[in-house]
Amino acid sequence: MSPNPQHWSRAIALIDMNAFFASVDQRDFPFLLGQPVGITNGMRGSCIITCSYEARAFGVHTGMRLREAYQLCPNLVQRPARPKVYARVSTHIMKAIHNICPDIEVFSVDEAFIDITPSQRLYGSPEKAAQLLKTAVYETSGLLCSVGLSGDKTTAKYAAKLNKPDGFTVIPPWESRERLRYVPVTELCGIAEGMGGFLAGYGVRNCGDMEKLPISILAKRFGNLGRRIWYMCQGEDPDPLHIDVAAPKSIGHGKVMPPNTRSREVVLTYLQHMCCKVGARLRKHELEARTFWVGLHTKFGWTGEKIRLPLMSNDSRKIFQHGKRAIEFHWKGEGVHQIQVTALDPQPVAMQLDMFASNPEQQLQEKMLHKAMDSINQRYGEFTLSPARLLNRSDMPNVIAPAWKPEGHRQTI
Amino acid sequence: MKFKIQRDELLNALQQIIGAVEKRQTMPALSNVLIKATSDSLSLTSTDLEIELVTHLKMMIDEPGEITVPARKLLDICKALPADSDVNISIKGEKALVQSGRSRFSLVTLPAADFPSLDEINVGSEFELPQKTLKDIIDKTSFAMAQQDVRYYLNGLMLEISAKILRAVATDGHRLAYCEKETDCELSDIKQVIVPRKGVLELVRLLDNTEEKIKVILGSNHLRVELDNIRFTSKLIDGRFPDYNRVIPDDGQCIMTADREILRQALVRASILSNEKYRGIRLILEDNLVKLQAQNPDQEEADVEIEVNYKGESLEIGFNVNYMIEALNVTDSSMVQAAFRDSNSSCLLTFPELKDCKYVVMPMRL
Amino acid sequence: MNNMIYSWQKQQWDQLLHMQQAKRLPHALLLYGPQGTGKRVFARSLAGSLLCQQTVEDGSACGQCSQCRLVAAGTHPDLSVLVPTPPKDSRSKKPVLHIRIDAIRELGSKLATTSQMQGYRVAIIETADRLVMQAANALLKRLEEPGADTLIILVTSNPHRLPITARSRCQSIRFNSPGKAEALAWLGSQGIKKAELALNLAHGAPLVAARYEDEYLQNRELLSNALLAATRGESSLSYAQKLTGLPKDGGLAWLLDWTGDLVRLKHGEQGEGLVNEDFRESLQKLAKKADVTRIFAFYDLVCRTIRQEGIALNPQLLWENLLISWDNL
Repeated sequence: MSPNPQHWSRAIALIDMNAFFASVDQRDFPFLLGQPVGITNGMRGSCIITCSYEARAFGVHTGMRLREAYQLCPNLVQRPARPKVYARVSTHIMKAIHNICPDIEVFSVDEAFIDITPSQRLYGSPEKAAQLLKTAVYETSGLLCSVGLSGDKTTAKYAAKLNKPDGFTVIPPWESRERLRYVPVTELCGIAEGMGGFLAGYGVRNCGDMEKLPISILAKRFGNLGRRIWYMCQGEDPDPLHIDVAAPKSIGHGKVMPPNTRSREVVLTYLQHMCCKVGARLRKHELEARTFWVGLHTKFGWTGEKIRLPLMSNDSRKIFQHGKRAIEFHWKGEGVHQIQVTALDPQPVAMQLDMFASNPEQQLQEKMLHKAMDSINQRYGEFTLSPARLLNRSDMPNVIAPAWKPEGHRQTI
Repeated sequence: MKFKIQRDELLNALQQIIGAVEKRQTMPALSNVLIKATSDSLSLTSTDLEIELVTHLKMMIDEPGEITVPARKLLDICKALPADSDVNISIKGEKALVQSGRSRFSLVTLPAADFPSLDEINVGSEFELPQKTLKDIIDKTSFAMAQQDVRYYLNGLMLEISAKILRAVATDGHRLAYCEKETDCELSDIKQVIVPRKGVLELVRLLDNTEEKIKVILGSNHLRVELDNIRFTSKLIDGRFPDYNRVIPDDGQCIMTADREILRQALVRASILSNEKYRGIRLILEDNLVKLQAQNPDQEEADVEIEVNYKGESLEIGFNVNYMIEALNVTDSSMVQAAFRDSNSSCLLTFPELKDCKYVVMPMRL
Repeated sequence: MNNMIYSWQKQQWDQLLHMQQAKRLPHALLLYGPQGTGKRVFARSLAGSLLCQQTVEDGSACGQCSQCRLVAAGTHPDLSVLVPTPPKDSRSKKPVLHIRIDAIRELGSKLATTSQMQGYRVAIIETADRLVMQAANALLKRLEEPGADTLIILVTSNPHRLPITARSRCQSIRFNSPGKAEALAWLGSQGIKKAELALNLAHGAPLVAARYEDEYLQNRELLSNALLAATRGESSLSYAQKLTGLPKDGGLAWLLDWTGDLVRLKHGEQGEGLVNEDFRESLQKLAKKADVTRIFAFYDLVCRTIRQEGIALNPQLLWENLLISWDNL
């Protein structure tokens, strides 16, 4: 590639809000400035959602238990999260960025990818455009951010991580490969431990080692994702910006079953498992749905039906009850090898209170029960608490990946 | 059967009952009107199996008899005939002949015995009241009826008579409208019915704002209202209406009084920028001040403040703005009083000048 | 016709009448049993009886009173009859018939209001196995909490196709085909000629047999000519085109019966209970040279073909295919 300092063939910036929640709180409550702040889910939350740089200096980090954090940093100031405020600030920031470069992928509440390629000419150079974005963020929100600029998403994200907080790191595309050479592959966004282990098995620890591995090995094992990773490690992540992140159209879970499963008990167990997952996911995002697709894949193809609940719900038990009916209606005992449960057209949980809610006490209790279960499962792992039928089944791997990516629903906070 | 009638009179009678003629043609007989002629009166009946409308005309009949003919066609013919003309109707064989001047029409008929008309109903209680009282009580409540709710007993208007008081209550679970009027009904025991939504809307169409007395019959299966020359009968919803007393709050500590029209207009203004689907607005009560805030998905915001009478702790509560506006729309009282308990409990709207109606609105979590 | 039952339904009728008199009539009934035993007529008679103002001695409707008039005219406000319908705006010539959610919803809202005539409210759902899933679920709600004086009657000859949740909420009443003598007597009273043969062809279901009038039997002759061609030393293939004209409920179903008869003759010396008793001799000839494994294979082929009916196949090709295999049995 010919080094042209003026215009890049592709220029991607990542804007990462530094310790976003903590920074917003420090901005809004000046007495927190300079203090080690730990944000938890309400005052009762026992996990650090995020913490200020002052706290990070003590070794406190996201996901740490509060008790542990106090041991490291006795002066830690615990603050309850204010999700609505963060969301509002985030929206304002994203809007400001949008006004400078319209091609923006909101990756999470505090991160966004911006495609500068089309506007680099307008602002003079990619660096100038990126600098403009950084200034805009500060002017809109009074918050500092780290900017990473490079020729692809992965390198941009890596670059942003290099200088925190308030960083501005540029890795021109023609330098990407060299810069990544000695970076462990697991540092790259999207390579989790499982894949890291697989790569290590082939002697690939740093990105530079990837050259030695034929792309076909990754393609065979992980499909397109594998191919992408192969390129990613060489500073040529081909992934485009996902600009139109629509509201979720559906939330679904599917699973491959032992081949030719004919046992009703086993099918129902899997069904309940999927219903629990769909329900938990709906509840997590404060959504509910009325129509669900329940399907079994047999050698004759998919069989199943859209079921309609009497009322909007995100109660796993209710979804299971109705799903069971659908299965009993459609399944004649033929061998099943896959199951799928999908909530169609999920909507935000009804905010309107009802005066005759069949039994307000009981309804409230059910909500509390779900809440308690969800929070236990969130902390100790999925299906720590679950219907008896599902105990010891949490090792079943998920096969169909979640198909939707709404704004702010990713777990990168 | 044979009789002669003035075109205007027939047209008027048909127009009064056409509302109950089934529009979808599921059963041919239901798109017909039943014509019954006795020696000195004529009656026209229409039904969609849920409501029945009968009009009576005192008149001379040449030859008594009964028959059913297509209702809309007869109506269209009447409309097309010149005003002040006379119409002769008779039966010839299987056809009904309609003749006026030099225009003749022959219509297909079906036997009267195939027509599901309803004469006697089981009477539960019966009373008289001025037409405008019934109209008023329905107008003040019917807007809160549910529409196609799975709780089918909410898809109608509850009418209750006890100790000379007639009550109407409608609710969709999110808000409730209550209105009561005094009547001369002598019955001491309570009688309660739920009139289906469709019946309520059809009935109110028939009522006028006059002092004229009408007869109301609450039967075991029907509500019947007898007006001067028209009789309305509706089936009832077979279910138990929820206990409305339980959900009308009486413990609201935070009491705010405001000019009804000023509050209404402020709500309308704020509603412009509320979420089109959920219609949520935030209402913030402070010392002698109400702030209304709305926000839509485009992050556009509305902030409206008005002065009210309020002393007490400040309170923030969310509502579907439509429910508030609708409740304030139905009266012309100058002042409104709202009683709140907390942001998770319902709000009670009352009107100092109108002792007989109350509205309950459940909040929204915002 | 709303006040009669068939002679072989007396026991079921008395059972229900007894329940009604004891005020123990359930709110939902499932009438099931083989096709052509008069379940639908029974359901209507039962409905007529519940709605009639002055039932006669055996509990059936009088047929005279105003309520009976309305039932006969199909305008009774408290009687709903649901039958499978094609999908809305279907332009297909052979649409799939189902009982759809809209119909059940409408029924639901009707049953949620009081009875118009201040008596019973009756709903008959014919061919209830054609309920689509959502409709079956919506119906459940009604079956679970019906109002007072309500009777929902489901009629089906395939009860296993109903969801168990719906089946379990109904009291099931079984209808069997009458004994042969009773059935023949009834067919005789209906003026059916060749009653015995017709009853055989209908597997004992009298109402099906009653439909096997002359034209049907002519059609059958067409089929038998084709199938017995081999016994006359001809090839059956030339008949294929004529066979495409066979009626829907004849044709393939009859071919299945013929195949069944061959199996029977292969297995018993006498070949008890042949459907096509009148062709016994010719069938015996065919059976002698046929191979039993191939007969079963052919049986499967016919079953498969029946399942595929309705999917557009060239009927002549279909028959040619079958006849080639038939000749090679």
